[in-house]
Amino acid sequence: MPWLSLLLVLPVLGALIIFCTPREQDKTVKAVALLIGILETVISLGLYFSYDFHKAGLQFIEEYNWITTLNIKYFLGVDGLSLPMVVLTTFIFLCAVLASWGMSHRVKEYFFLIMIMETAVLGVFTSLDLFLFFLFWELELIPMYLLIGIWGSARREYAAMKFIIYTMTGSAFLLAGFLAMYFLAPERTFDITQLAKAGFAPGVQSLLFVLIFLGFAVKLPVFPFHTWLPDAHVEAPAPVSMILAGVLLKMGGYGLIRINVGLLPEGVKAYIPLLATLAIINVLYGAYVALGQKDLKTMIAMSSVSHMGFVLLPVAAMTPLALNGAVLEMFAHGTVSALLFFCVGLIYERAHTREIKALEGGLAACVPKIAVAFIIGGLASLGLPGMSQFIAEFLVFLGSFPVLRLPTVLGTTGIVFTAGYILWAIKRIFYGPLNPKWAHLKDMQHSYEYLPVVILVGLTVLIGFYPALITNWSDSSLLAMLR
Amino acid sequence: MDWWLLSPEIIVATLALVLLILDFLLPAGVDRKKMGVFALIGLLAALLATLDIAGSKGQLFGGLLAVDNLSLFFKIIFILAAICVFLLAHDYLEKVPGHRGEFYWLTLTALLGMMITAASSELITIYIGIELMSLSFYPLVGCLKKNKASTEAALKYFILGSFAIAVWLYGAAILYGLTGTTDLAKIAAGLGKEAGPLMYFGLFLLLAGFGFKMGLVPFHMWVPDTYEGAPTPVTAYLAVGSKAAGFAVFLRLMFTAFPALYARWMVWLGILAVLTMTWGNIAALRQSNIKRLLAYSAIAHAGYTLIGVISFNATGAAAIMFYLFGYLFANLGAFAVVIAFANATGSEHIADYAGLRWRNPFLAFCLALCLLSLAGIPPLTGFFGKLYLFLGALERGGWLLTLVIIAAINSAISLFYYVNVIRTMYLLPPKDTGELKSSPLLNFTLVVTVAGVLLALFYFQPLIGALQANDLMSAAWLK
Repeated sequence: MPWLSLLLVLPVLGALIIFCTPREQDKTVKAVALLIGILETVISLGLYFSYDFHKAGLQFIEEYNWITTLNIKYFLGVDGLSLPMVVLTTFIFLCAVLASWGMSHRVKEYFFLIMIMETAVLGVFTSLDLFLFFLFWELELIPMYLLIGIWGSARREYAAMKFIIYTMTGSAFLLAGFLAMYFLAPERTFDITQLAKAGFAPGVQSLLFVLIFLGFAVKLPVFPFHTWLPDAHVEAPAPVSMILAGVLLKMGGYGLIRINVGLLPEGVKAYIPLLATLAIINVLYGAYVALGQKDLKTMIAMSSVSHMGFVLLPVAAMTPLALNGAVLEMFAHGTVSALLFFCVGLIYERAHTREIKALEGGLAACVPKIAVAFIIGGLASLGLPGMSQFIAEFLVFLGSFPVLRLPTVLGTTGIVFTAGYILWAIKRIFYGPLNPKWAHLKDMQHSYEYLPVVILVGLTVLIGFYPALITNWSDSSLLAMLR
Repeated sequence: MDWWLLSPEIIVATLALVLLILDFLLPAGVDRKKMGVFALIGLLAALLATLDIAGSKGQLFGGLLAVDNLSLFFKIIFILAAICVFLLAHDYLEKVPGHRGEFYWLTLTALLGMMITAASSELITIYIGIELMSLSFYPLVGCLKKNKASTEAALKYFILGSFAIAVWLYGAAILYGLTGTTDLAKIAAGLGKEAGPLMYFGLFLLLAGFGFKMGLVPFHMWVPDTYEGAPTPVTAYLAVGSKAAGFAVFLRLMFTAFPALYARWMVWLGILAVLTMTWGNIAALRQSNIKRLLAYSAIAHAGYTLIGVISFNATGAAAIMFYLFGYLFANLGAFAVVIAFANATGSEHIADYAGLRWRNPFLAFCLALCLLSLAGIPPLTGFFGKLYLFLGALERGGWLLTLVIIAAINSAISLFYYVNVIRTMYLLPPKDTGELKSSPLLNFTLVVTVAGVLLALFYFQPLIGALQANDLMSAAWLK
């Protein structure tokens, strides 16, 4: 059974059904999207647990010749690096669909685009042919543009355009890098498994590294290419922010590990000081900027920039332990940031403002459940033990320290900043005497508001207590990759 | 001589003559719509005839015309373009009562000119082909006689076009003087390894003439005005047919006659390509008229296409062919929507497209797809074309990597103005909420073109496989 193809085709199928649904039938549209979301999650979990991590390597492989003249293949497969990302994607999309349940504006188009996005993101995580990878990488662009541009808030058009121009410019370098790799390989191919054996000369690797790194750096994002992120995250509607922070950034991190570390290790080695510096700037600068934010959503967006520094640092360190931490961090940050954005969405829906100053005043008294969800997310984000992000960051530091002492030490101080802005925001918004202005706010009521919280908190705590659920899978694959 | 190889040209020429005579014989009041149907049937026959001889090789009239993959493939592009133009023009021509007949036969003579241009392997035949095409286009551009913009466009196109072809002729004369032949292959032989300044001057003049046809910067001045003023079906035809013809013959000329001077002209063309794509894209950013926008986008695309010539290998040549094939669908689709919109509202301003998604979702969706294909977003045909061009350039290697990066960044810039149109259609509220009707014929054309845009995933491999299977043209070094 071609499970991975099924995983990719189902959302497209859902999109087609949605496309053919009559315009007024919002309920049907939502039901189809939810059904697809559940099916995808079930399939991805099935794949996850039937993957044999003792054997490591790529499994569930599907390989067909496609463009034979150029030796391009339809080549899918997953290993311990991509599987956590696949599972994360299906969960986040399921939560995003649930979070969009109250949507009433242009429902059909909205869910159509969400479905296309899901295929695109899953395609990026499962394709093993760089051409196919690029195809899916770009496929996500236009739906995201429209999702931000149509359903976003006040400055949505600016944010959407900025997103698309940044990403597309990054992709230009990515494509140039892929094509250069294709020609420089002993036998012209886009096949990642063959390129891994190609044995490029160190000089060639560092050239290819720069081109491809630029593409992924925009997506991750790495300072100074991060400026699209606060705009896009803030202007996007909450479910789309969940997808953006939850999985789209991970495409950059995944690409860095799979392609830059996996195929061009010499290239990474050539730029270790630069990468480590950028990672630390990401961590510290992101956190520092987050401290000064007035808008709650911008604050969380900047915290994403900060946390993605913890994905870049292991890339520079290139030790298996640190990279395990990076995979874990991507998964953990995916769930945690999605949870935080979801909570901000709930608050915004009720209070119609996201400004921390305006929200000030004991919201915990009137919306205790939202407060609890947000506080769990916040504590997870600042790395409280027992939550997934603690383990992830701990592994990152542990793995990076022997190789990159100073950057790691500097990186740990980022956690202090994080604790600062998260706790400060929590204190100002949720504690203190109840502001009478907010007394009328209603707490979470519907199951579609509870469910995402339950799923995301569940994943955070589960991984926090039993990180082997990810590391068992990622470890063997990363070891094989670095060998 | 195998006359069968000439059958597409014979069919088109006969068709044009029959329609010309019919148009004169029929009294003025008689409806000429049936002539269009007749022409369509004839064009389909010509298409079948071309497909029938696809893959064959030969020479006609002692080497004046070449029958090879290059010419046959371009003939298919031209005939497809002409068929689409006939479909697009059917409703549009209601605006110009009394000129339907001449529109039809001029379109066909232009087609014949393109077919000859693409096949000619000798300078004088090239001249005849180009002139037949251009002289048909001048009146076509000006066929909205009461419209000032159309007349101005025609005049501009005529004056600049005549000037360009004169420059071209001068260059051809110099070449003839230096080598004593007009046959492209013999020019290459007569050239030898050494070339003096006069030879380069001649080549430069030829380049200027072709640059005009292909719309390369700095020979592009006529493009925006002519595209804007011409009747939209003619604009579409110019953008697809005339340009493709220019590229077909340019490709053959550079590959057969001047391989020895490659090191020199690749630099010239590299500079031209960068100028063309960058200027086209930057100028397109500020356009408020959709036809001018598409005109500047056409200029930018000429810049990308030129990369295929600069790569100077079989992949580059095949890439140009595939690129223009995909461009045909995307561009004709975009123009079809422009025509449908103008038929209903009379406007060509991008601002008026606001909220088209509510007024006619089908039109908006098709235009969006075509524009995204032009921008080179996968998995649409424009992406595959661009990718293939880049592959050709990287196969050549060297500084062409820089050219590829510049082109890729240019695609990112171009996304800005393409997406701006999509933004207008999907994000802005409509000014006028009335439903916008488009005719079934236009819808049919749109379905065909959008299928061409969407299905590249499936036809890319068979098409390039067929293109690369046999040699594209009789240039000895290409093997």
